[in-house]
Amino acid sequence: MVILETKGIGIHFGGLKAVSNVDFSVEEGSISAIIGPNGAGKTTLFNLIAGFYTPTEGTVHFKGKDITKMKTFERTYMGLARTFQNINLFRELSVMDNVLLGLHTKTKCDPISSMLNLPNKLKEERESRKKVMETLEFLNLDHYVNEKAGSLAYGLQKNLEIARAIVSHPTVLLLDEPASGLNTNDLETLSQGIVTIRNSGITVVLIEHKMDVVMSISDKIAVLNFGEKIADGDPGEICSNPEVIDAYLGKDEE
Amino acid sequence: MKTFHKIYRVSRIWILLLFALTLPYWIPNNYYLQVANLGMIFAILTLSLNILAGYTGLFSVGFIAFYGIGAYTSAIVVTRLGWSVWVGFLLAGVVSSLFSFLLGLPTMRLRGMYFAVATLAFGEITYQVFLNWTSITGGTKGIKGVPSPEFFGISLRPYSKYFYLILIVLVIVILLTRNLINSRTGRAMLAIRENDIAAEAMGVDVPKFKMIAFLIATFFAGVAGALYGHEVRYVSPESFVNAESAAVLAMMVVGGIGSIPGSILGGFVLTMLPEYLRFLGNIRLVIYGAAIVAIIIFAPKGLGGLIEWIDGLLSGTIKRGTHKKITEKVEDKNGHS
Repeated sequence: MVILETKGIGIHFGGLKAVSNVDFSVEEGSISAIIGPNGAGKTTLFNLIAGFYTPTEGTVHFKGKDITKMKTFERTYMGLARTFQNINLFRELSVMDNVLLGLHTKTKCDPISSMLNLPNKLKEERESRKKVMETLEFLNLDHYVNEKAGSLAYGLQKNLEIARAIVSHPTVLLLDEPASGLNTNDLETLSQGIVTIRNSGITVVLIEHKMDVVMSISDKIAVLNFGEKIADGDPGEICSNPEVIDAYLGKDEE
Repeated sequence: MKTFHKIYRVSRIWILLLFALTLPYWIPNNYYLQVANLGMIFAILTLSLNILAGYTGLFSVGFIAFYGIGAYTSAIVVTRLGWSVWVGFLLAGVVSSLFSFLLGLPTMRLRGMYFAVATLAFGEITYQVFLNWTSITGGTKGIKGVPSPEFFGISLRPYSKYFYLILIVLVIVILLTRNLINSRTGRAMLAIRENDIAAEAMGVDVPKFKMIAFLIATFFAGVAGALYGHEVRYVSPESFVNAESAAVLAMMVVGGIGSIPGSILGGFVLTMLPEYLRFLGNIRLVIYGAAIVAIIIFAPKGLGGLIEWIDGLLSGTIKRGTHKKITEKVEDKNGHS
């Protein structure tokens, strides 16, 4: 079943067509990847899906609903979570608070009970903190629970962003270059982690340049070039597609 | 050393409370006692501004307006309608929040400086209304004869008694603020301050939570204003000029942005300091200004940061020489592994 879909979506910044007429669909329970050269419009497509940009053409559908006009936070409430290319953590807040914020859509305590520490707030806090600890353990961040997010090493910050995005168990997780800046050992862990996340029932969409990660875990790959989709299919099809090799993958000269 | 840390950790809150409860006996001079009361009222006001600016990142430059609205609301309903002072206090908060709601509707979508400028304008408008709506506010002459509250027949008019009323309100505001920060709402506010794009990605309805912060902050500010009106028993426009807003901002910065102990210290110290420096004549204002600059340079996290650091040393949560906080959780973990 298609869980997330864009139909003829596009956005123009003045004369620049950043994304143009892209049909992109994601099967529920799959891992999909978006690849393409720098400036091809991959992150822009993410921003259109997540609601940070309003498209100038086309529509976005999520869980069978047209969400094109919805605000970002409403899409998050529907179960669309994301990470950012250049890490968007709450740097001055603790690791715990960062991941607790990931539970914002799953909690509902009102300001008055919050201020009065009423039983419903205390219960919700207890449950939230427990859930956060579980997620932190899964991503090996439990030792850093009280550290400031901004003081963590780069790789840990990337993990923390994933923790914050998956703690609410979203329907779809958008990962924007999760592997950038990681060393080879961490890449293997990351790939396994993404598969584990998918196996827990979260559909994953990722933008990535590291081809070994993309090819080893993706069920489907879409290729963007100059804002247009030039191909999609399973890893085997993409590898052998001449247009993709020309635009992005390059020829293996050795 | 360990036993000392333990004793300190258990006793610090009681020592603080004992000090607060006996403060009127430490300051026998009635004039200075009034200044101390004013200092505590400003501590409440600074704390409310901190909810807005320190925690939510919404810099309000005309914050004194809400304090003024609170003071006038209570003074008007008590002197003109003969309502109870206690109702006046509550209404001061409610009406102040109501105005922030009306101001918030168009401005909550504005970012950064735009909101600051909007509040600056609001502060000026409010001042002009206090000054010119003579039939209600008494104009330049203000409202005289604002009564002191009574508590089961005991008049709280003496400063040494009114002190305890302010102290109770201050403690309540501290507790409510602390609980708020450790909650879903509080974290949403902090998230907006830190990174509003990421906050939105977390599902935070940014304008709504800005509004919530604004309503809470101005409620407390309104109550603080009413406390002020019934303390000095006279309300007039010059107490609410925009320069006073700058003073409250200074209190927040000197105390430490986003710090509860900082807000209290900032409000208290910056109210007391000019009075205690009075013997120096006009040069005191220079020293006052220099003191603010010195604190900002040498204690970038303000007096609150300084106090938290000393507190950390005494309670043993900070190791000497390093500024790194060692949390109990991590200590436990390392102990086990």
